[in-house]
Amino acid sequence: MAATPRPPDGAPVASGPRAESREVRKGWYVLLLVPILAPLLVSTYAHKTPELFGFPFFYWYQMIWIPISAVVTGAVYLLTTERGRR
Amino acid sequence: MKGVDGVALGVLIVLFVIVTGLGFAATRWHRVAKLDDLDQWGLGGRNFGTFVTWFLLGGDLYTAYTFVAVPAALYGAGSLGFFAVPYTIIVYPLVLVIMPRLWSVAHRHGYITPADFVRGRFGSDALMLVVALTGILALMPYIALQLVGIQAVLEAVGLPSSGTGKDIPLLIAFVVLAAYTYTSGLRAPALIAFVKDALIYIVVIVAIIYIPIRLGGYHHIFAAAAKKPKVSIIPKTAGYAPYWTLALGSAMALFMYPHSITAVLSSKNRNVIRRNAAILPAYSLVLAFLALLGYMAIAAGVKVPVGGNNLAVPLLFRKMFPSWFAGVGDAAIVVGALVPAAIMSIAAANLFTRNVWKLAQPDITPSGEAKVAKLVSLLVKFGALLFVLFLKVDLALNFQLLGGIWILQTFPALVGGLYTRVTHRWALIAGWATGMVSGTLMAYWTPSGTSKHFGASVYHWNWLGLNFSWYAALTALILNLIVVAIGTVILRALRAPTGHDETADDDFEAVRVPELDPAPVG
Repeated sequence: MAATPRPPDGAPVASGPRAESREVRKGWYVLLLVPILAPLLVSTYAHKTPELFGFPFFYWYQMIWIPISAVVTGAVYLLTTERGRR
Repeated sequence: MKGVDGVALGVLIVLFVIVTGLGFAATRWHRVAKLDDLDQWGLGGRNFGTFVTWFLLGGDLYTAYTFVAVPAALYGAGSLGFFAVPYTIIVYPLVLVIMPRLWSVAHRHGYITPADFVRGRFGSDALMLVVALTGILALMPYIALQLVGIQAVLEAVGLPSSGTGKDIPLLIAFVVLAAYTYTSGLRAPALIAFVKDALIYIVVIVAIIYIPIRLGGYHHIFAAAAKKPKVSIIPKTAGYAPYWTLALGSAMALFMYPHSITAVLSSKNRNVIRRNAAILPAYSLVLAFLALLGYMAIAAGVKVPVGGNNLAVPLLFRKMFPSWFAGVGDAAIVVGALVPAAIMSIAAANLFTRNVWKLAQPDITPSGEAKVAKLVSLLVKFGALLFVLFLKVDLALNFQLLGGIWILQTFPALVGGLYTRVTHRWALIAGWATGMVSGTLMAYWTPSGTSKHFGASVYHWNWLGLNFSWYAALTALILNLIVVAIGTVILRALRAPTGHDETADDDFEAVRVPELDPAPVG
């Protein structure tokens, strides 16, 4: 059923004539453990103080992890992608 | 409830009409000769780039129910509801690791649903059926809850919540949604997602600046919330385990939901998914601020009827914003309901067609598949509508709670399968059954203040000398994994037949599918 390749009349799938990028240096994936584990350690941040802009620590600390997680995830993407694109 | 807010309702209707136009126009988007196979109708041609996928996934994962229920949880109970934030922090690193593998193997083999992959990997129709039915079962109440979100808005705008004709606006919204999903398939929610996300961003940015200014700043908002009875704004030690297990379990479950996978598989290459893992957190920031609207509702003195915490945000809009902008906020929630409801019904239809119907009709043609799927998408939405109209909302909530528990039980077959097929297919089925039964019982045994059963998703485990309060989905997953491990050892020792694995190791890393490459364009 699913093993047969789909007919080539389907919509374009790959990104056209560009060179494809390769994934390298997979060791960097270990970095992802940081944004996965840090938000799980509730005891490290279940505090009221210090406040920031009126936000108790519990709230602003977790919200700051959103951009940190994005930066780490983005960095791992870049570090593991060999750019042969465009 | 006060009278109808004509201006807000007018704005809501205008935005709804615009979105409806987009939904029907979507057939022409990325036009193709025909829309009559599942790759086209059910996956939008597998051709969405980074930008479209960002909107589509954002519109898909952050549902209207999320927008209504997460602040409602903070409004009603305080900090525990904020677990949605660590949940969305954890989920994207997981996506970067896991989902590209699923994308690659699905493109090599033309898989459309998660159950397609499980069948190909483990060579088991039974396991495929189990994964497909779990997915459909988990999606149905989720769709129903999108309707609950719409209902909350309509009620807050002042439309009658009882009497004859009360359901007509909801009915209209859903007939329209069903019609353009039927004709345009996944392209419709993909296009509407632009409007949805734009509305949400506008409303949230305005809300988090304007409302605190009127309420005297964030410090005052948190102080007011802390004073409300039964609300604790910082978790106590006993609340740590429920908090992190809810975050982790929900993050692991999110991409087991078939509608998430539908959006992932509709992207045109592996790097689109990898890039999106880094840029999707923009939505998490929105979610965090949205959650705080629950506290703002407390500080603003919003009063909801008993059991009506879901009204907290719509009523806050009505109280704080001028009518026309309250209408924009309402539209954001309603349109926010339409996008995921469309994708969920498409995902359920894909599952039914590919993994249930096809067992009985193995030689169905691709265009036959599309016909069945389109009809099923109508049935699924109709079922969700009946659910909301004739059964109590509580029941939909209970099933949604169970849906999260159930869908996580497909993790060993699906995510496990992406890395290894050491696990025996029969052991995976036994583990799944263990997780389903134990998870359901744990939810059933958990009382709340107002009900004896299905009171909360956190189960207090007190068996075998162990004592802990965890998200029931995660506890059930551990039992599931134990059975999978023991079952695999026994079945391998007995040399029970393993199924045929049609995948190869490099399928999971495939960047693109050579035989599908189009001739270079331009």
